[in-house]
Amino acid sequence: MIDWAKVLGDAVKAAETIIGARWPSVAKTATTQITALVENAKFIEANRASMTDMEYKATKINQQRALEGVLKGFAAISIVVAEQVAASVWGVVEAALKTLPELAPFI
Amino acid sequence: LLEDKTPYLNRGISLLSVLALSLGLVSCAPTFDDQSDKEISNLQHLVDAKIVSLIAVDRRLTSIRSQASQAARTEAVKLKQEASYSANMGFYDDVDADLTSAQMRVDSSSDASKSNADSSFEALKEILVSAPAAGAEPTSMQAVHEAQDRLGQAFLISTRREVNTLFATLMRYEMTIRAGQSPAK
Repeated sequence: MIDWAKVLGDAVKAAETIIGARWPSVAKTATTQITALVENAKFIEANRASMTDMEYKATKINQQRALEGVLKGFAAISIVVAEQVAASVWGVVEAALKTLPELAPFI
Repeated sequence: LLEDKTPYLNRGISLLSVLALSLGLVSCAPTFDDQSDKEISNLQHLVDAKIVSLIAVDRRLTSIRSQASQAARTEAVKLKQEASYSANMGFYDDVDADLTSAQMRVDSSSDASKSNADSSFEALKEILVSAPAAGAEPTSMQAVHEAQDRLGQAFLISTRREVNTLFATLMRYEMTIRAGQSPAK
């Protein structure tokens, strides 16, 4: 029997590994999508008998594709968040420069 | 005179280095594109509505399967036609074209997140419309539909969940760019 709680835990750990240090910024929303896909994996196994062999094999492969696409999608989101943090750093630097008139000859 | 200005010069160079680094990172940040946001939402609606409609047809076919009346047989013929691959080819063509269009719009912002966002689009193409490689079994919804001419409810429900998690991820990507801040928690 499949231990679905372990499957979910392993999937979330895999996501943390892929996304790395930026994981906390997307953890909650990414976990929601990963949980939905693990629930779907349960659905596929529970309804295997009502699918043709071709449908069962196809949807199992597609489940993996969806998980990979979701993980990489959240990696993309975490990069955007990092870039936006960089954008706000730029704003802080710009504001600081304006308060240092002695640096005017150099910028 | 130069000696007097050396500390300022060093501070200036340091700050300019920080500026250059910040500008480099900021220039990578993608800008929000309203059109790609709409294209992704419209495509999600198109795909979801079609899958829901095919599920409803299959449920109805299942429920009238055991009925022997002429009316039931006539309805079954009509429903089988509605569920057939030939009746839905236009849908797959639209999905293929719209996915490519939305992906191209997102790709037009050349930033570090592009290749990862591309993976979500590629997964959607593989699940929905990709043709099987030579000798390989069909796996996309279109390829399975073409091979079987009809799709069962369980396969459709599972496919709906798979594509909607991907669309939700792409929508979150767009929302993050639009918000200019961390994703909502």
